[in-house]
Amino acid sequence: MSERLEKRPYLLRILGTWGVFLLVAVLLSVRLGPVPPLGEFLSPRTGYLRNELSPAKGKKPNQLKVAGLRSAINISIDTRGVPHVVADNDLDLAFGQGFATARDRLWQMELQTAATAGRVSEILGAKAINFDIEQRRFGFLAAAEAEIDFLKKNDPSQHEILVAYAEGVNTYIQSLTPATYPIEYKLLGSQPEPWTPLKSALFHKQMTWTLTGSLDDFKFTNTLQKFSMAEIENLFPEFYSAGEPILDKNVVQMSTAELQGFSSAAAPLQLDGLLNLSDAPRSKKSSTSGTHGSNNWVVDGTHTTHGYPVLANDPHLDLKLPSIWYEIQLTAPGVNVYGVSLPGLPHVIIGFNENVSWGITNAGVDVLDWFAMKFDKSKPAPRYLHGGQWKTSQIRKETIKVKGELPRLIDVVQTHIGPVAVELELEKKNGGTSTLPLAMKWTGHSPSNEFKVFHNLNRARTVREMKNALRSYEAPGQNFVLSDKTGSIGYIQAGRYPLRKPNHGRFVLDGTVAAGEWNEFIPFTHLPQSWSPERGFLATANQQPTRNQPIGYASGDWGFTSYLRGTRIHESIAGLLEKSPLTIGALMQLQNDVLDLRAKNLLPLFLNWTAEQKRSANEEKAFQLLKNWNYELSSNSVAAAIWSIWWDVFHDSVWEKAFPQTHFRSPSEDRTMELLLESSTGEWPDIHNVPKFSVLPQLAATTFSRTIETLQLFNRKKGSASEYPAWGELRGTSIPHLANLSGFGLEKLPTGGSGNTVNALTEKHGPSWRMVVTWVDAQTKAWGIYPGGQSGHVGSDLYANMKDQWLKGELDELFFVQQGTLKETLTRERIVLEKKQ
Amino acid sequence: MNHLMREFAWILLSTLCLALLPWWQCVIISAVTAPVLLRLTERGFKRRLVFLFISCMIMLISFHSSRSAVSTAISKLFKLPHFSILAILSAGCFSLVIALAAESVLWAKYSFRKLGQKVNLRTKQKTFARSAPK
Repeated sequence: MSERLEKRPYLLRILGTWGVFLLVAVLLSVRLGPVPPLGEFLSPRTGYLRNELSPAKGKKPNQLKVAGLRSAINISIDTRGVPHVVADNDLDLAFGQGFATARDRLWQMELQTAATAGRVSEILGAKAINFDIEQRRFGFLAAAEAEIDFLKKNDPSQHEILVAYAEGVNTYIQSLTPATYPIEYKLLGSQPEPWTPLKSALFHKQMTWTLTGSLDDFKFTNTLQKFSMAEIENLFPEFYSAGEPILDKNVVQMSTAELQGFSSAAAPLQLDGLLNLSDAPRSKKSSTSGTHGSNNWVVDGTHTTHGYPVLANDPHLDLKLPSIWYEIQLTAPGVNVYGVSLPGLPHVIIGFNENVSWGITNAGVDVLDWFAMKFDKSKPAPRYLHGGQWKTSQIRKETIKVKGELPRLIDVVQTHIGPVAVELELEKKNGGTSTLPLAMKWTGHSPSNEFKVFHNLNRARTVREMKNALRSYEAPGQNFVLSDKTGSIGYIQAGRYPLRKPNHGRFVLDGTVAAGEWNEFIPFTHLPQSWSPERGFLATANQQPTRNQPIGYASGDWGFTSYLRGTRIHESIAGLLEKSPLTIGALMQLQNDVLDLRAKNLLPLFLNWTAEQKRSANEEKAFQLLKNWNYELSSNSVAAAIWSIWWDVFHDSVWEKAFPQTHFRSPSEDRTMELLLESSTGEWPDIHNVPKFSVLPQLAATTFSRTIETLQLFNRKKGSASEYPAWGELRGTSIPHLANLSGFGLEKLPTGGSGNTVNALTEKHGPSWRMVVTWVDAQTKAWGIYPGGQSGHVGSDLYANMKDQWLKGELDELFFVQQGTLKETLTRERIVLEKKQ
Repeated sequence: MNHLMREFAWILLSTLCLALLPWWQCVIISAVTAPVLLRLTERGFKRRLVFLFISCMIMLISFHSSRSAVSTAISKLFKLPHFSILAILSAGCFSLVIALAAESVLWAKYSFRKLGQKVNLRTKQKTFARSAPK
């Protein structure tokens, strides 16, 4: 020991060293805001480095002994990361599906169901409390519990499948240690929770809500306070006269006898003011018009070059990483199906087997209504007025656990109509305010058994069998297109839709009167449907099913998305068929079509309006670009960027004063286009604050100048050398991480298309799965792709491996094993789950 | 083995433990072995800290070199300019906590020895006092 050391006051040094050591050790052990405990997180043994996964090596099967299995399960994972699960019975098949899905998507499964159940605060803390309260009030948890009870009672076999699926997930969870948890658990400081059948039911409810829930009733109710019903019907038609509907014939109309129970006739609520929508639930977009949509089409075998039907499907959803879809092949006695599943649910949702294929798009029928309730809150269980009587509501006590804080307790008031999910402030004309409690009636609250429907679809052998399987399908309402190997095709808008009168359910209804609570539903035989049509093809793109509104059928507040996609698909297929039978390649290529029918219809009018306008040199250049444009919203098209912004600015300028977005929904872009094209016949609406038709050319000129300024500013900010940005550069498409963790998603990919082109890409939305299926020499052939990858682990080479091909519009050939096992050359990894004796 | 060699052995042992064990186990092992392999000196702490840091860096960068998808995502999430910052941060944190743990133990050992010396001295003084001619 040195002499210098000897001279120091060593006690001070000891205390100092120990103090600093303890301080550093504590700092490494505790969470500091969003930063996880750094010791655990940075440790090579337990931290993020453990999640840097290398591609699997070697073909030696990974064997696991599992208790509770009936027989062994073989899972071969192909080079695209798709598991091919082979089992000896349905229950083991569900077990294998649960195990394989959890292996890739555990955290996604957990977050999605936590969000539906209103339990995000348990993971993210108090910042998610308002979201959780909204979710609890919507009553998803109660609906999922009712669904599980319903299954136990009415279809124990499907409940057993859900139990087996949960066991598969839980077997995977048990194989994990904190060091091998997916990275998101480490970042958020949570741990996997055992999976249960209830969670599968919750996810079913979440999907139903995503595809059927909209809060536009509130905006329409405000609109009704300002405009007459005739004006509303003109500006917001339920059924459009233009565009191609799904069917070229009407549905089989219901007879008078069938309509006997049709009593839904409640008058819309008249208010003494406007609803303040700033407190409307934030978890739901006010309008999904033009965004949530999908395409599917099917051409029968007599109209294709190779003699078999071709079916294509591309559901458009919010794009996320990990993807909402998970590819899988499921094989057991009586079933050999391939397609995409939803992580958390058993069975294949969109796909094919050796004999049939099916694709789905959202129907968009209104199955959600809001009723303004009048409460007497003088008693503990508040009473509400209904049909001249006071009825007692039920109170559901909900405890919301909050990470790092005390739990919050909330009461959810339940009426016979549904839960009181929203309370809005009414801004009265006299300046006062009052609160309007709104009860929600939604088909999703009723238990249904879609598990059985998909179980049967997966095993169907003909279009007829698929039609029979869909008889019990309820929610969410979907357009199913179907095909089979014999050459038959079919379509049905399956779902449980309330019988309605026109405009019923578009507005908030008066909950104090007994009328208006739909209890009758459109019978299966009267749903829009078509079987082996003469024209040889069927196509749907969320548009109206028929030209005229069928009796009892209403789109309500949800509304159909732009009919332009459907029109373009119909025109393209019909046009191709006129020339010659269709090839598989031509039908594949149609999924990438970016022709903008709106531009094709309106741009000549706009150019004509602004032809005489004085233009700067820059404006002239843009003008010439538009004149020579082919109307395609290609990623590299500058004209596409100019037109898209010009149209948006023009559309907003026309309606923004009369329909401010804070309280109202403006007329759709399709309706605006129709009005502009019909204007020569004097159809332009004469409404206060809406520019007169004669002013529109001037408005077009000013908005054109504003567009040019906007685009130039965009490029200046980016420091770009070019004059105007290309469409893909300007708009682009982002695929964020499910929990919006920056760095885990893909930002601003250069994409073309828009919400109204067949390739319906928007900023965060688009084709979430592209699939084409046919048969060649009696063997199933299929292609598919989705933006992302099979693995939900950011460290995996399969996390976003399909992104580039998806961007280019290319499809992968799918390795559907029809005989024997997956070829060795296509195998990435093998897992054998063996029965533990 | 001279002291420098024993110091390097300790650094290698600590780095290996960090790679194979949870961080707190690594800290315990490094601290427990410190009195055997290390010596408390005025300049030893800084030298050990620097070499430990370099050793951890080499290990972490070699881990990162095979795959860096997660590191890249994490660095973007925490707005770090490059994923290698994570390696620097990790190496910094762990070399500091390990070196401090070792230092604390060495100081404890030193204080025990000091205490022992004092006790001995006092005993000797007492013995001397008792045996001193009166």
